[in-house]
Amino acid sequence: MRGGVRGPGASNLPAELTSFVGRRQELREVKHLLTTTRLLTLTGTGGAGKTRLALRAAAEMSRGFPDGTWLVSLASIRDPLLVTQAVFSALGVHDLSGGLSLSLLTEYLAGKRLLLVLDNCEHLLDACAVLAAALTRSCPELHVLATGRQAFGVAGEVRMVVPPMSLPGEGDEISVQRLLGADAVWLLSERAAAVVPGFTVDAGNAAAVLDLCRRLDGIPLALELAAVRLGSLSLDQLNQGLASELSILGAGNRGAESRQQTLEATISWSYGLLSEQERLLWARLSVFAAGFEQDAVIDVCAGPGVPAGQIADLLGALTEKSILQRQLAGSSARYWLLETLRQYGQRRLRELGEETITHKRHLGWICALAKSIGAWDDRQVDSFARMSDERDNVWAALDYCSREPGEVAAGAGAAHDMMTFWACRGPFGDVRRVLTSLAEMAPRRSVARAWLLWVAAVMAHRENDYAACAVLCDESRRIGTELRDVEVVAWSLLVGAIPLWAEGDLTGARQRLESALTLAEAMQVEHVELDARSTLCGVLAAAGELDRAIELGEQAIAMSMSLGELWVRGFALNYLGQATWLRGDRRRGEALAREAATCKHALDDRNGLAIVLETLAWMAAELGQHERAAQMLGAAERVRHETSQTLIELFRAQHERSQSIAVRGLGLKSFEAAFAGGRSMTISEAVTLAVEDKQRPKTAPLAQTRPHTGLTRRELEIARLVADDLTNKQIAAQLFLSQRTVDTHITNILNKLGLGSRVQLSRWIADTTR
Amino acid sequence: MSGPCRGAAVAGAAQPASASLFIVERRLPRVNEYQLAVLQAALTDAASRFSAHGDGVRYLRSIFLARQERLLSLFMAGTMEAVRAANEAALVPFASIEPAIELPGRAEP
Repeated sequence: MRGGVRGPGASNLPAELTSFVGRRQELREVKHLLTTTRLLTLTGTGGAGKTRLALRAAAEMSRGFPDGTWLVSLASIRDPLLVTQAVFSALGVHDLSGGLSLSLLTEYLAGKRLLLVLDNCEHLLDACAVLAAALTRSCPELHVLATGRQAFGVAGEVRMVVPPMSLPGEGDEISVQRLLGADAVWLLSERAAAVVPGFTVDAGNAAAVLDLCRRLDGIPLALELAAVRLGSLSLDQLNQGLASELSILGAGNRGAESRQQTLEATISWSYGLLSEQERLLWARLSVFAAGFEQDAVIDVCAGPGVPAGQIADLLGALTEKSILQRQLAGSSARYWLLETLRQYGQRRLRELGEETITHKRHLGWICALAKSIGAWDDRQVDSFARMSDERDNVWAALDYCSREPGEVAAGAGAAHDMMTFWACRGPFGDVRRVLTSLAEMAPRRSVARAWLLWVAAVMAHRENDYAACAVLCDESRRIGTELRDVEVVAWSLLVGAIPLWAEGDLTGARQRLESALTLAEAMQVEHVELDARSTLCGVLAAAGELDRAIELGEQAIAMSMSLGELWVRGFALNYLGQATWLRGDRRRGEALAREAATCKHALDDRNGLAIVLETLAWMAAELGQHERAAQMLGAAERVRHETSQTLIELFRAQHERSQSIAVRGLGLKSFEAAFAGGRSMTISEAVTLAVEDKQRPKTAPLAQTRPHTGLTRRELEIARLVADDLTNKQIAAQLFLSQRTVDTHITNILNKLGLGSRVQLSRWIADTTR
Repeated sequence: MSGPCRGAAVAGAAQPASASLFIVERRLPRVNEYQLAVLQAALTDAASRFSAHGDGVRYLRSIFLARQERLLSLFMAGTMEAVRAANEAALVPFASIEPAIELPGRAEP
């Protein structure tokens, strides 16, 4: 499981980028309430600091939650049906199914003592309320801390209003000491000192500071936006500027509505102080969901008024002015806008008349990322990793397509390119739902509709819904035939063969695959040809036509290697391994299947990995390695369970045969013990078991040679390669990882060991292994 | 047999004057009893919320066709859009929403 609920200390809470100031009383109250209720909602106006308070409380209470404290950011999600996926994603769990996610989630969390922070629930209030009610009802040890403008209004919920930061009373005599006791003044002073070194509140500026804090109603976000301006403006200038911006609000009561107006006026004032380029960029950045990197900003936001060459400086400037947040991951930085500031940017974008063009460019950027996946080349590992980071942006782009009928074709193009990614990562049900809904918007007789239905058919196959898969493929093929589009027809024939294979109609499946292969060869549609050869290899192996199966499998692998892709190669190796094994060359057959597991692990293709583990279990069972067979079956079950998959019906007979042999060989009790052992493995441990060659002499297990460093097995492996003087790119290639992943690992390794450079790391490796 | 009846078949429910029946269909392969119970609770919660908002959505009941692995849920509401929103808030995807006509059976003596 990538991330996931890993036991004590597990968390995805972000590091605090700035100091946490004040809020002692509120923090005490949140922590106290969380000991007495399992559903606490923090409500308040935008910018009141609800998220910051929730995160700090969650971090301070983490020891009380052995299964971790987890942040689910909902700001960028528009589709309520994606809320449970967001929770799975935050927990680091791949729910590939996307179907019955709510019940899968409640089952997954049922026995866990864990704190879930649902942040920014206001726009999905009903869905979040249903989720919170279901979780608190079904998971007795789970606590939910939510933030939003409103409470959910569900049974058992406790609501706490997050007030503005404390200010000295109106009539009080003001001393510097007393001023500094107010949270609002403390926050302003802290943030001001960050831009004006040595800034302090003293008798000379106390009145102006107090004036400013009162003017801003003690709203933390407003104070932050104002304080960063002290680098270029004096306190008096700040007060004068804000006074004019806020004067239209009058001096009414200081209720929630009034504070919201104060915040908006402060944001407006802050916007007005930016350069024209910074303002334009802020507005354009608001189309991103959840976050963005610099290259994406250049693609989406550069243009009239914002030169590409100045994007880096502008991002830096907006970060300094607290408009953007920035988090470093390895060598790259990811930025995001706080939701309140994003919404403001969206309004400005609309006023500028740039909403449509910027969304179009955002969609174009997603389409370009998808193209790198659709190329089926040696960028696959990197492209998959990047697309995983941009999941929320993909949903946002598809959402835009669903609102703009003219963009359905672009969405269909992206879907076509992303088929392999979704086939690995899902969530199958959600992708299928969104794509079939887009298909309904496409013209009945269009290639766009055909592609959408075809990708939906692939998702249906992954969900074991073969009836739907067949219907979707038939419709896609009908359109392709009418339009004489060979690629559509060939792909539809290929995927349409799967339901026949699942029913045991090997002849029918073979006919379709042969037709797909013939068409693909004739029209030189390389990817269909590759996949058709691989799938046909599997069908023919099942039919006992081993020579042709082996020939096709070898051709598929050669094609795959020339392209540089890994997705089909993993399947082709698996099927070729089966055919080779069945023809009697067991050693080579097993070696091929082991290599298949490595390919699938490199792509983090859990669906494919479960299939390969089943093959290896079958081989172990046939070899009389009953314990290994049982472990492999358990490991495959673990992969399926963690990704909410079910056993693919296509491979049920093989699974049952392996199980039956292993139970006979071990006896039920020992089988169950070995199966449980496999089921308790992590994905990496399962892959290590899978690729271990039982027939090779054993080397000392890695665990015995691993120094006690806190480094994971993978980190230690990378550290050794660094010591061998390999570049990050070379390490990535050797381990089938993306370069970004290697960058991140190395940053983590240096942090864990307290080292400052690769040279120091090389020395450390030399010392510890001496 | 009584004639076809729209909406008004449910007596006593606080519904908009023009409330109609809708059937929401879900395909639930290999669903188990626990999952059905979670779904049932989510549908009830979501519809109650929409009802409380004044959107007039009432969840009446569901029927599960085990062999076909299909769940048919019956709602009464003013608009199809309200039924859609309530079902989306229930967090479980659906295949279709269709207006329905109820044909009540003969009343028991």
